[in-house]
Amino acid sequence: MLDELRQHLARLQKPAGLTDGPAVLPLGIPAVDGVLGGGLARGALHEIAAMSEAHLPAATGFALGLAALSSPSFRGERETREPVTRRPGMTERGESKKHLVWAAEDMALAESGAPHGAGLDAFGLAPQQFLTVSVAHRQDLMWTMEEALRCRGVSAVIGELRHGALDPVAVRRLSLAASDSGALAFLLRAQPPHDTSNAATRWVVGTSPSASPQRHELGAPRFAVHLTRNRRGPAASWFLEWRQTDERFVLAAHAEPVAAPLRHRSHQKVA
Amino acid sequence: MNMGKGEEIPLIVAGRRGNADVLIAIDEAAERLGLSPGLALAQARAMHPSLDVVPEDASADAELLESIADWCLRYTPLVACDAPDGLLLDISGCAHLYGGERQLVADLGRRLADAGFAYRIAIAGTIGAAWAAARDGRPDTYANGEERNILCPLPLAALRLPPPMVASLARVGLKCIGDIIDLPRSPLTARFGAGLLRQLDRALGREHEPLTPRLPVAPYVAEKRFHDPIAREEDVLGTVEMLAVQLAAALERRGDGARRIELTLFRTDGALRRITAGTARPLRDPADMRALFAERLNALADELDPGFGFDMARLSVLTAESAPPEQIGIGAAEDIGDMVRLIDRLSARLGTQRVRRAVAQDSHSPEVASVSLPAQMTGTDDGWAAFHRYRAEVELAPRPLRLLARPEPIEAVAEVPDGPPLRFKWRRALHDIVAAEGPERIEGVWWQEEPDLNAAPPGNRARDYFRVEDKSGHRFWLFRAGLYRDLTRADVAQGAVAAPAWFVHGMFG
Repeated sequence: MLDELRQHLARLQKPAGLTDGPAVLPLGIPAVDGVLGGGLARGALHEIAAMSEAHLPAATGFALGLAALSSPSFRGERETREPVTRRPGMTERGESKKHLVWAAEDMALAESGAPHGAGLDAFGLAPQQFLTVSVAHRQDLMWTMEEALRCRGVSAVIGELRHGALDPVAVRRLSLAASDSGALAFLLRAQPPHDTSNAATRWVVGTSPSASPQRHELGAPRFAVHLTRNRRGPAASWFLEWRQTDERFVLAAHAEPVAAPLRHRSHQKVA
Repeated sequence: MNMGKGEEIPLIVAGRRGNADVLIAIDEAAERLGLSPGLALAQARAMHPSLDVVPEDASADAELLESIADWCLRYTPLVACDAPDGLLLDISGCAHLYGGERQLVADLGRRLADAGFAYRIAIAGTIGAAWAAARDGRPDTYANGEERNILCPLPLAALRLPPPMVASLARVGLKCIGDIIDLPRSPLTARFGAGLLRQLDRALGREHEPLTPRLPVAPYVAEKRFHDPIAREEDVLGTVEMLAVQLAAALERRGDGARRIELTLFRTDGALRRITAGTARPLRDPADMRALFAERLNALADELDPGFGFDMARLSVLTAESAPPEQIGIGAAEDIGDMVRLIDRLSARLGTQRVRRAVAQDSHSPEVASVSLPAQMTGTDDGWAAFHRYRAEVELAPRPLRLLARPEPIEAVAEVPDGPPLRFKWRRALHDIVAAEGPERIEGVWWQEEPDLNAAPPGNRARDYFRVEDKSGHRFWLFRAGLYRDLTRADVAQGAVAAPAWFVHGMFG
């Protein structure tokens, strides 16, 4: 009897999002996918933090890039690149019109700007399938994210948090909601968090000077990406570039030596 | 004036009519003192020197009349205000709900008396006859066809005629409606105008008189009365679902779906609660309607305030839209349906304005080219396909991922007047620019005043947009409002043209 209960408990305690099976979202970069155990776990919560508030646009770009990857058919006309695992809801041609939901507190949108339709379009996302929800309170934010995650028509939910610690219970609820539906959940944070969390991964993202050849041309946006928590493998750091043309991340050719994550030197000036 | 124990204090309302203060309305106690409406206030004071008078407040009266009109919605959706002190109810087809017209009148009278109102209620086949009977005749329930009998003995004023016309009719000896009812029509019209006979014809039912309801009548309505008032939220939601089932059947018959639904809750004490919910797509499913109102009630949990309970609930579809029957249970369609439900739920709980989707518009101005509108109002493709083609065709420069609600001024230093800045300061941080793309010139719109100095910065000036990257890789969308070529010598000194200024408008990922 006791054994039975223990087994039952063990089953219940199985961490959300770490279910086996092919429910991963490969970034298409072997080095990154290897560390992540095949790719970004679907149906799980991922934290993406900016190195500092100034780096928030970069963290935004990184999160949106991942979200764009999560819906390979976002634009419809685009060819589905190979081995993206299909979820049962998706149709053969990958024509499902899944939405992205962006939830943020009013203050965050006023301070850092709201997602811009034409910008999303240029970035490779479909603005007509992008829902922006502004909320007044943190509870509403969590509620909105949970509701959106439980919706079958949503492929990824991004919640922007400005300041303050997270309620671990709320995070747990989000993880569960994500694992129920298989959608991707991202928490976008303006500062590197110091709290513990049960998110599947935690990323700290900053900008990095692009390898622009000339003064009159900007290269592809480059992100300094530090994977600081990873439930399926070691921590690691990369420089990634977002290729607007084929809408995916590529490993940046190192124009400069890779430094240790800046996160631990927060007293030093970053921007 | 002697006011012994138990004697009521008379309530008198006085106001200005022409040049005199006259009594407008009085209660029974004042009537017993020998006062009557229309009496000059000075005269009334002469009769009773210690009279307490309340000044007239016409707007408050109108408000009260409207709130009573809304309360009367429990009897019929067709309620019109007949200012200053009357209400018109079209009860065709409603009386049977109360077991007949007399029972309806009894119910209405009892509730009005409970609330402390004096009333006169008449039911007749035409608005004019009911009006006349209620005000000048014997308030009662009259059958259709009795109009002539009601009207004949009544004074001509009961036809709702302007007082001068009544006076001129009286001068030729015509005092009662019966006096004119059988007179030849053409001399009457020639002498008193067409208005007289039109009022008579309307009262007699020879001509139709439309009733203009105070509130638009919903195309679909379902309602439920309760013997025991309900107060719990679950009961309210249960009622919503039950009514929604009735609505769904009606909607389906006509191939419609609901876009705006209103729940009206009638509190036992006469107060009304109206809760509306919008939907992103024509809706028929009762369970969805219930879920929608569950969110609305959640959002205003403490405001519902059932008091002693609600004794009637009405669910009306304010806006309906044709909704073709759909196949359900097929992958993608199901996802879309789910998405629509999500938008409705979020909008119901957080507010329609908070759940938004971007819409592309045909404009060069970046603020207008992509605007975000409530998601319930937007479709799944709003101009984006066209925008996408346009962007590819003209090789439009990339737009920022995040756009500031309002461009923020920055301090910038540029190498050449028309070139990109070398460095700029924004929110106290200095950014050294290493690379810049641009300019992309966006002219101000020609139909607005050009040098509008009163406009909030940056105003309606031509903008040169630059995409810049600073030393650490941050990317910004900057623009200079105003062009140096427009500056002629002393213009700036005179303040005729503002000097060009720099702004940051957005950030790239």
